[in-house]
Amino acid sequence: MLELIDVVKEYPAPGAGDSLKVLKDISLTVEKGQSLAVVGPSGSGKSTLLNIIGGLDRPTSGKVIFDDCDLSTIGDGLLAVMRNLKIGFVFQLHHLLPQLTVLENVLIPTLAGKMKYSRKENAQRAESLLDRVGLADWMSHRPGELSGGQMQRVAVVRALINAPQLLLADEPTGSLDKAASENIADLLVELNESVGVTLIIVTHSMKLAERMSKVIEISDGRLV
Amino acid sequence: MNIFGFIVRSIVYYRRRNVGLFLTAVVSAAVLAGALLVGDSVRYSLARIVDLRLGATDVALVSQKRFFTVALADRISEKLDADVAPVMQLVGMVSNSDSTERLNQAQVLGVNGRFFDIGSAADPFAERKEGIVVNQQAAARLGVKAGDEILLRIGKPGQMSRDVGLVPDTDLTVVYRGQVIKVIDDEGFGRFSLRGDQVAPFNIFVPLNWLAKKIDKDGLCNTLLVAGKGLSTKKADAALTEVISLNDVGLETKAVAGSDEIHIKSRRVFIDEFLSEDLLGIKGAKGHLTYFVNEIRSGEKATPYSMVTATEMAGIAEDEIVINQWLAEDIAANVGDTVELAYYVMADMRKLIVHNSKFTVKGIVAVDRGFGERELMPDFPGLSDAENCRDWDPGMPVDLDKIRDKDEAYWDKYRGTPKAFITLAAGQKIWANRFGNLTGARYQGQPNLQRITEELTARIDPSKAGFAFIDVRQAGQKGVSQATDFGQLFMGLSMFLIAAAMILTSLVFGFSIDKRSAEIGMLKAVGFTAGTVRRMFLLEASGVAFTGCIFGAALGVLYTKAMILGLSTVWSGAVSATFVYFYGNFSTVCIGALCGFSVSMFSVWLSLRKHLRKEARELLNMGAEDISSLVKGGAGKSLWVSAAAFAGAAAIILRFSGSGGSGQAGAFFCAGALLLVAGISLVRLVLKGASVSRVGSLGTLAGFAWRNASRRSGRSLAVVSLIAAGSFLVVSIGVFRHDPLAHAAERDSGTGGFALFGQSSIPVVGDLNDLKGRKKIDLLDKKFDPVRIVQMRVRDGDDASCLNLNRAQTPQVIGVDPVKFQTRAAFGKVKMIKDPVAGDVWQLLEVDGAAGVVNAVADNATVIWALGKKLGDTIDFVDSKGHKFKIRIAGIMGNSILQGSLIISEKNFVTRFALEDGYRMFLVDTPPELSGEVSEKLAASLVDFGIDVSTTAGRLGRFSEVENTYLSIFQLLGGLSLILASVGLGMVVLVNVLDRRGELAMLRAVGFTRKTLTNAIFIEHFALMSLGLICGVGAAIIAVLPALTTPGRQLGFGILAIIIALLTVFGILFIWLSAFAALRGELIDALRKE
Repeated sequence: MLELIDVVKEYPAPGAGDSLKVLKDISLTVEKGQSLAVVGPSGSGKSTLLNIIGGLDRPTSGKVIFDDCDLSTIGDGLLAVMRNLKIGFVFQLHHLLPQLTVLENVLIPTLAGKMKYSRKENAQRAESLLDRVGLADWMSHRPGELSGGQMQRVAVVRALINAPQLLLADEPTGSLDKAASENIADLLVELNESVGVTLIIVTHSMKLAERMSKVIEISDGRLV
Repeated sequence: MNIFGFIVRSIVYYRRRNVGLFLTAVVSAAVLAGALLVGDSVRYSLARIVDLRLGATDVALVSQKRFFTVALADRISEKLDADVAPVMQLVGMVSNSDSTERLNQAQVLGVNGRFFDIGSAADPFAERKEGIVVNQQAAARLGVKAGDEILLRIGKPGQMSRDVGLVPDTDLTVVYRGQVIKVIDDEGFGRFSLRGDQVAPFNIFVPLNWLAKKIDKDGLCNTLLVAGKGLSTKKADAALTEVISLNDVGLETKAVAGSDEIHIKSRRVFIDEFLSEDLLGIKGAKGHLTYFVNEIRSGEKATPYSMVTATEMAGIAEDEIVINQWLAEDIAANVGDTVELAYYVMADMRKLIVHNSKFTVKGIVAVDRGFGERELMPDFPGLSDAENCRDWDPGMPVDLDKIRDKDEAYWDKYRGTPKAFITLAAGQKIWANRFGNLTGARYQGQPNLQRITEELTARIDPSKAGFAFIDVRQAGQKGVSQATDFGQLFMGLSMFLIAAAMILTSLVFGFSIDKRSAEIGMLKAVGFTAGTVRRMFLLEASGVAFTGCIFGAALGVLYTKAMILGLSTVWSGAVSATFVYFYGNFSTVCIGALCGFSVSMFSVWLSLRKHLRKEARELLNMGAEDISSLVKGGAGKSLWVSAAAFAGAAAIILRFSGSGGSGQAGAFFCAGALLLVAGISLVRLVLKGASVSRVGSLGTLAGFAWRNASRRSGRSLAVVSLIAAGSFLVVSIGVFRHDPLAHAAERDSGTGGFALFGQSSIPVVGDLNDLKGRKKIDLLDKKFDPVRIVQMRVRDGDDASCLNLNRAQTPQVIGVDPVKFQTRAAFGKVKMIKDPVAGDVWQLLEVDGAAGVVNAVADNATVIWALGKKLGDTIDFVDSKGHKFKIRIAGIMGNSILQGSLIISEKNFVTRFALEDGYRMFLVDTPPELSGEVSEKLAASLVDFGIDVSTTAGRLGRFSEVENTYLSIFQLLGGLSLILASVGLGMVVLVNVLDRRGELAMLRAVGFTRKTLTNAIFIEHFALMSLGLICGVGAAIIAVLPALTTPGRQLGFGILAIIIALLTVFGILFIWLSAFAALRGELIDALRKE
């Protein structure tokens, strides 16, 4: 389902210095429905790898094959469609929009372009998903009225609204307390198992990583 | 929820953050709608003035120097089925009863009820058939009201041009003391004027019949106003040709008593050449030219002052003469003897030169041969109506002592019966002049009178007499449509205010977008394309900007009223004190709002474009710091731009140094602008450099502050640019102010080095520099020897100066002897068309262009602004004989006291405008110490001519006032923009500090005092403001360098110091206020939240 072939990512250095190689020849295959944890020390290139997988960034060289499509070469428009319909993101910071209610925040990806479901179906799916994560009573509330854990659960639901094949989570529990972290971890694992969505999580938490079906470690831009 | 709902939610949620965008949209829309509304209001006012001054008049026949019958009005009215009003238009001087208030340039109008019908106003003479009616402007100037007495002096048109020394130069005016029966306002047709300008005339109305009698023109008038729907000048001219009579062109027919002949003569003594051709074209016509000769001599014997007629005679050669019996006896001449005639011929300025011609006596005839010889003498003014010779009062010098009793007896018995006859060809050779070549014509057979009259009438082409209808309404409307566009002008003057609003819009929207970077990042991450996100934010901004523009447009109405108030008071010079009516056109308000909206949205788009270039992952992480923007560079580009701009400026300065003139001023302005670009690019370079500095520069508080300034280099640069551009414009524009007094005495200045300027209502004839002239103006004292007067002829037309807001269609023409300017090198260097012959432009005036094109010089403001022409362009005119000709702009001089007119040579003037007599414009050369005295003497001695004397510097100052007022408006609006810039600076401080509350809290935590932090913030932003000022003022000083060394220009240091001081004070104030507001409260809390 997802295959990375010799992915390299470099950033130009300030001045005339050598460029900074963040990812070095990463090759990786992830099967459909698999859950994968990416671990490693800070600055090792975990988030960069996740961004490249999710089409938020492009590799300097190498290929990212997702759903028979090379994300490193397709145009911005198609990439946006892929992100919208086939990939879901959960960030460390939830990035909920304060001006919208919980339900509306969840529905945001459905406004991006061609809708996968009808408007009515989207609303039903959003309500159902929110109910599933225990936020049925909070749908009309604003993010400001929610706890950190609740907000992150909304972010997870938002990532799932278009029923993506791949769910990417960048330190999803990084800013949460222990209880909330466990709650989110349970939710992600459960979704992976019940919905069959492929899950890739970048985390510092070995406890969370161990709950995934596969764990890879990156150090200094290389798979260890 | 859909995208629209999302946008509405965002607008509501971020309403506080959108206040900035809302306010800048308000400013943009208000300024733009205001500028357009000012334009509309001025245009509406000018159009309204056209209606007020013309009433229902569509076309008009104006002939100031030729008079036609009032009955012509009836005939044309019948022919065209239109309302036609006969009017007598004359110039006059008026004073109140105790002569404390005086008006020299009054328009005296002889009118009847038909005039007021055309003006849709009540006839003030309906009940009282005599008295004087004045318009409200004249009443206000004279301080009179109904019931008061005024003294009216009316210019009396001569029987023939007073330039002819043969006619008296007295009896120039008629005086009347009468009662004002009514004061009429603009609605009462009091503003009537056919001149294409917006300045209200001083009108004095009197009954037409009364006025005509008063000036010996009973039954005549010189203007017809025609009001008729769908009327064209072509149609009116055709009607005129059909109904015109001999009497309308000044010809009178008479059956000669005691003979079978019909005699035709002119009211104007001489018969114009074009009429002569018509008269002689009739079968059997016999033309004659009777002239006054000083002496007829044969040997030792001579007869003084006699009439001699040149006529067609068979069997007589051109050098032969037939004398009458009386003369033959008086000078003892016989057939075959030689007779010598001494007579005056006309030269310039009424000068008369005695010429002599010899003839051989061919025959001697009886004094009265029964063919009406007595009628051959035309009505010479001062001669023909005299009872006896001693009562003669002709214009030429006549030694009455030479008149003997026998001469008196001849006059008593035979009056002006010619004493001698020569051939017409011989007579025309020596006596024909620009006023005509016949004094009459004879036809045989009195029963044919009607047939001959009809045949002659059919031959008359009115246009040759200069009778042609003018489409005054169309000309008025054209003048308005091409008038100075105050909308564009104010738009231009508000340019920087709008630019400042744009930069501020970009800044405030940028702040808002900065805060919502993560939102944009999230949207992009979940699949929104950059285009969709841009559209969403543009729609959101458009909602705010649209609301702002609606408020702004409403505010624009108030702004317009404030501008109109300014134009009515402190800026009245810009509109020549014209009353500007407010005219609020809804569509204009909408256009203003739309323009404001577009400006705001363009700024928003620019701001969004920058943000949307960033990748989603960058945006999601922007809360921390946009490090990539700091390292991405752009420094190289800045360096290149800066170097190129510096090089360009240096090249321009080297190329144009010392070249002088307006070209140099323009070049230095460009160099200054390039230096501004170079300076701003340099600041960008320095900011970029500071942002990537790795070592050093952080050792002091100032170094720390400077490093902070470089963090958001876009914001910092926007502030620097705003202040730099604003101060550059305000300082450099200030230099274009004129000080007419600074250079007035120089020959190459706009005064031509003349000290005084005079303009009279009644033409002054003769040379004011010769003995007779000096006596006339009381300058005989030896101390006045250096005083010289340059006299100029004037042909009235539209005022083509900057005081006329309308586009002049037929400008005033001045005739001057170009040598008078050439020898004085007056008015400096004049840009001229290329000519192989003429060495300078004054010589060029004497050279006729191809196909009779007349060369002219005019000043820059006249050509470029008032006429909308350029060097080499031509303007169509019609001469006094009805011939169309072109005046070519062969030279353009700097702005001068002769603004508003085309200057042609006097030679061309008298040829083209033969009917314009005398001089009405005067330039006086006088030593400065005598200036006041000369001015008083001119004013006193020429009081009856209605002369106004002013200093040339004062006149030039009035013209400069218009331009200077524009500059004042620009500077004021520029100053407002700078204050807006300082508000922007304050906003940047506020946002910068709020952005950094976390780090400031950290600094507090590690021991920085609040005062130290405030100082750091102050230094950072004060440095930006100072850099802006240094760039702007520095570049401006380079731009104005040539002007600073040019006399007549001034920098206006006072105003500039005030503006810069105000900007500095406001800047410092806003920096402190913003820093204080942002740093208040407990900063450590921010750290905890972090």
